[in-house]
Amino acid sequence: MNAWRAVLDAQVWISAAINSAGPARKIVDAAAAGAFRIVTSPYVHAEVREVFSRPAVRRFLVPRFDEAAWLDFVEVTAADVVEEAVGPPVVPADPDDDPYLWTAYVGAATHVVTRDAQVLAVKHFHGAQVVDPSTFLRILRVT
Amino acid sequence: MNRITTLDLRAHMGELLDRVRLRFESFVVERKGREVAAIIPAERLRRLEDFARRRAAELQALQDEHVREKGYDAAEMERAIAEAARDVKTKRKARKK
Repeated sequence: MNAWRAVLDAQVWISAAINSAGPARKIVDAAAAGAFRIVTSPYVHAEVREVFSRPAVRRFLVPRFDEAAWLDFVEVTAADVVEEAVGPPVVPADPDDDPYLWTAYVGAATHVVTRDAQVLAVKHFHGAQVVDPSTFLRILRVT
Repeated sequence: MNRITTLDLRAHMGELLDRVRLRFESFVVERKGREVAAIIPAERLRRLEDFARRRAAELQALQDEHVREKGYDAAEMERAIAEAARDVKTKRKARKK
C-alpha cells in the first residue's frame, strides 16, 4: 500500500473530469492506478458538485456526463472520505479554504494539491505539503 | 445485511471471518448504534472497485470525445474552471453576510 495521500481541491477534480490534456487528469489516473490515495470529505465533495453546476463549467460537459456518478465512482476506486473537518483559521484571507487543509489533517494526508494561490502560500500544514498539480505530478513520478 | 457490534466482532472474530470467507456473508459493524465499518469478502470489494473504475473511465471517455468533437481549448477550459470556483466562493461569502 502506497503511503502518499493527497487532498485535491475542486479545480483539480473538475479539471480531471473535463480536460484530458492537463496534469489533473494524470493525477486522478495515478490515484485510480494505485499510485496514491485521494483524501476527501463531505465539504470537498459538495464544493466539487457546486463548481460542476456552474454554467461556465457545464458548457464544456457532454449532456450525458453524469458528474455525480463520476465523482462517486472515482471516490469508490481511489479515495478515502474522512469526516467533516474543522479547526482554527488557517488561511486568513479566505477561511473557505480552511476545510481543505483540515481535511488533510484529519485524513493524515501527505499533500494538498491546489491551484489556489492563497492555499499554496501555506506551503505546509501538519505534515502535509501544499503543492500545485504539476509539482505533485513530478513528486509522483520521482518516487 | 447482518449487523454486529464491536463487542460481537471481538468475541467472534474467527467465526465471522469464516462466514465471510466460506459463505460470502457481509457484516456491518456498529459502535454505540452507529455504523463504523463493513466486513465483506475481499473478492466482492475488488469487483465493486473494478466496476467503479470501468464506469469512471467510460464517463471520462464520453467527455473526452465530446471535447475533441467540439474542439474545446484546454486553456479556455481551465480558465472557466477557475472562474466557476471563484464564483462558488463569492456566492458562499455573500450568503454568509
